[in-house]
Amino acid sequence: MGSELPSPVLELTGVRAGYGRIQVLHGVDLIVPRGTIVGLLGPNGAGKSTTIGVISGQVPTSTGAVTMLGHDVTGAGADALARAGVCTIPEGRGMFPNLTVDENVWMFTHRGVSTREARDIAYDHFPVLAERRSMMAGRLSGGEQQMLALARALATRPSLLLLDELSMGLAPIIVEQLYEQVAAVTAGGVGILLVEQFAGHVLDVADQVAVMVNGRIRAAGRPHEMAEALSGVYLGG
Amino acid sequence: MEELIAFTVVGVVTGAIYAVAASGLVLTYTTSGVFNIAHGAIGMLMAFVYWEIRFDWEWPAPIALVLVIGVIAPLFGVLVERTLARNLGRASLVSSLVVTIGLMLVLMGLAFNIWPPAGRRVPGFFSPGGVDLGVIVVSWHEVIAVATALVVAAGLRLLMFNTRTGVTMRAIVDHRPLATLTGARPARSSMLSWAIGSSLAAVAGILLAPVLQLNVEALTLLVVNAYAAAMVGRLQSVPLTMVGAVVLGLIESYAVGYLPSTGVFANVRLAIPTLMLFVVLLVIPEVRLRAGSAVTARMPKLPAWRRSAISAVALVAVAAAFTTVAADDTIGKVSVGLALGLIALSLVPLTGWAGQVSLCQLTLAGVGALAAMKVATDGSPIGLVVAALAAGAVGGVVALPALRLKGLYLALATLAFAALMDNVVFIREDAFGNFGSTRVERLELGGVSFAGERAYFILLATAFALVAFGLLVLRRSDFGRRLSALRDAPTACLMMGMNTTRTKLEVFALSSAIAGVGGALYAGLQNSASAADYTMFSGLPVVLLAVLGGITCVSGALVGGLVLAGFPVLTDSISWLESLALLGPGLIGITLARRPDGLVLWIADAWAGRVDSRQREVDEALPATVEDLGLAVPFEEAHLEAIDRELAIDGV
Amino acid sequence: MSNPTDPSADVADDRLTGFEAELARLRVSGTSSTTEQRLLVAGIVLMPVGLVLVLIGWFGASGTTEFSSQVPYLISGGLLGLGCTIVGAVLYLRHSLARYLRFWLLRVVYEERTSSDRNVEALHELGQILRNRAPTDPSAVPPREKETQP
Repeated sequence: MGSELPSPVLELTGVRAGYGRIQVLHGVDLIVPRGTIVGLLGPNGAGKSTTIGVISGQVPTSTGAVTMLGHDVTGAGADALARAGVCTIPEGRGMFPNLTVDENVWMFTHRGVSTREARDIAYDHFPVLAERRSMMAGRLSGGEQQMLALARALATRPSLLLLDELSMGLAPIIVEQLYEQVAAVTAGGVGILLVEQFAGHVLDVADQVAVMVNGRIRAAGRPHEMAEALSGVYLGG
Repeated sequence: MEELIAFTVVGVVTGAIYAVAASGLVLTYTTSGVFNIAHGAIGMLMAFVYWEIRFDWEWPAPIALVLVIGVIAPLFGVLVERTLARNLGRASLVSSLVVTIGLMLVLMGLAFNIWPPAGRRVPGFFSPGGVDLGVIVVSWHEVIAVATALVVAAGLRLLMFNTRTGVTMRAIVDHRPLATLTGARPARSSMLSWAIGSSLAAVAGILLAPVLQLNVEALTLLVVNAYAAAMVGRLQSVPLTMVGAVVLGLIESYAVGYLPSTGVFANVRLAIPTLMLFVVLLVIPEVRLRAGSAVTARMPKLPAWRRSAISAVALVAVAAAFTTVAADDTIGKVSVGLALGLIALSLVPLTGWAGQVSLCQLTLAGVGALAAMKVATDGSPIGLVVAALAAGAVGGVVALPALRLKGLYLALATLAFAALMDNVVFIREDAFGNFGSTRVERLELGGVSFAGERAYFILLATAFALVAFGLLVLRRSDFGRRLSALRDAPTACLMMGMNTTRTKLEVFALSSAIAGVGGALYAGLQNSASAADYTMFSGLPVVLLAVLGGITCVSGALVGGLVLAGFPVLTDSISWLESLALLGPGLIGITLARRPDGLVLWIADAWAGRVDSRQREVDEALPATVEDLGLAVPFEEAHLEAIDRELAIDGV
Repeated sequence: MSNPTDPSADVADDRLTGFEAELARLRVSGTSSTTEQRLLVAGIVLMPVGLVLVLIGWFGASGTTEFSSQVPYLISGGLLGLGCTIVGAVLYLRHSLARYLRFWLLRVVYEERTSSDRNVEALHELGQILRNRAPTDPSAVPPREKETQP
């Protein structure tokens, strides 16, 4: 591509959004450049999940724009964005509990990959899932459930990956394994947005970190520069 | 032994047909979140369409079947989904019930209009041939019915577990937001489920037509049987639903065979599906239904003491003034509106304030009328008291299932109760008399007779004003606050130690008593009472119009009643509109998909200049609109000219 | 942060190009001006169609005195025709009103804009006058706000 400054995978400009009359985001600007992992940190209720909702097309914006690779996608439907290549792993259960693991993997194919390919990739990365393929996903352990959710990110070859609270409620060692898998995805110019409440591993993995408080980005920069800002946020500064 | 086999075969066959209908209902409900009360009506309509094509146009059966089941029914389902059901999945329970009830009434009205009642016969397939099993002969039609059910069962199983389309449907039921995030299209699945549901309803309707004849009401009531079966599967499991359907079919068949055909049991046989629905609702462990409140209509601001009192007096005064100018005939018609308004008023505390959906208010009114008629043959006011007490007591009994049922289950239980009363109590000779109709004297109060049309009109207006005022007083009280709490935060009520059982019982009894009084007055107005006045089917428009008027405010009930009474007036004066009388309430119900607050609040808002929801729409449309029209680029002289031309302004 | 020109960019380009193509095809739902236009046209068409149906029904029904043979005309002419007309009129009204209001809004926005332009100009002139009186003071420049507060 000839352009000197390639447009970022994702760019939010002045996004305001909320639910009903309650505005949660008060003008959010955020950039996820190509091949970059951006961590979005902030306390509970800061609007992190709403930001994910806006990007994935689940929450409508009232003003502002969401652009991907320079294309304005504000107002596009969540399902259409997902088929285009935006993979969102929502907070909590990122799988269908009353479907078997195999059927869960089958659902990956809405994004245009073949069933065989989806299964190969998912079970290659997470062999433990292959052993439980005909088990209901709801009966898997927490870590296995997140593996299944992440398997979608791997199998559907997204160009933009949004992860909401991946580490929540999991043992640190499992989190570390999962993040290894996440880091592997970026190879290929893919942009990743990691949303976490607690900095922990994010500072090790992310190339850039943004701190969100009360629906605004309070600070952004390299992970090591952010330590000060973060301590301020969490210690009530 | 022979007999037993014969009844078993009949039972299995009817069960198979119910199974087909019920599985369609469950499929639609689970995938789209809308409980389709009109499911039976769709089957009925399709059976008629099939009759038209097969026997009126005399097309060959295979073509007619493919056309109806494969083309018309699915298209109809898709149409309903696109126009009505799409936004209902997330709407309040009352809206979705009222809209599908409206659809049911419209379909029934359509069928009555296009195919006026006449002895249409649909012979079974390959009639009169059959398979000789040695002991008995099973007709081909029966064989086909059972085979169809098996094919449907196998087909649905295959669809849901072995195709991606089906897995997607289950995924949407399981976790809708996530399904969207994987790229599945919920709208498409919902449309497909309506198409399949509608087809299955058509299959059931066509299979049932030879058994029941082509009868609009009987075929529409098929849905009650389907509910009963679907409840066995807790509205989730198709296999359990099918088991439930077959059990229901068998019980019905054995009841026909072995219960005495005279006495009490004669009527019980007719009521078996509703009885079963009732029992199943009471016995099954309650499952978590979709979240969402029963009523989302806004609560209006409570009018000030003075204003409510003045309004009440004004209503009576206006009524009195009206009697001096209007003709007897007109007064009679408006009186009907007032009486129905009083019955609709009973829904305001129950559904509007407490969030308990009831579809049997007219039945309770019938109980009131019956009680008043039996006790006070001479028109003594004791009749009204007895009506209130009797209806209140019956309402308390209806409330018993309500103590553990919520939302949709409660609505269905009340609907089943209405059907039960139709079939078991009201139909009896000792209820409304020999030909189902008895003369009722009008009220006489302290020597003053209200026999005249004018006097009775004023009486009705006074009764309405008193009850409405009483309700407003009640809403200010502690009880009123408890009702609101019950509606808005049932769980919080329990945690705060509120006695929800008592509150529910009280509000049910109160509401039923109001309905009972309304029913007694209604009977007096008509000078007669008959079972046909208080059927389940005629009760549905009352609910519908109460919601239309505005279920949360007392004036909404008045508007609803008047509108309901207005239909016959309109159709009497314009003769060719007659066919609209059946359609009107239904059509109105359908429009409620967009105006859940009701007419009264809508008008009040417009009057006060509040345009909340509309304003929000404009706000949402604004950025896009402005961009669209070139505001993002600077204004130029040419733009301005064009705008002024559009607005028909000559240069400012 | 990886550089966009690093070795992995080859694979990247492939995937992102696909993504870009998908994004370009994405139909973003802003205003549905074409749908709206179509509905307006549908409204205009439906109204006369309904009236014609009513007329047909009228002539058909008046041709016979037998009620049963009037029923089809009643349905097709009366019901369907009336329905068509009402639906058509509603569609037409809704969309022509919406159109009018939209332009009205634009007009108001234009007025607002010109008036605020005038105000800004006036303020500007006022500023000029004030500035001419007192020489510019460098400390008057507001300090830049710091991004983070501990």
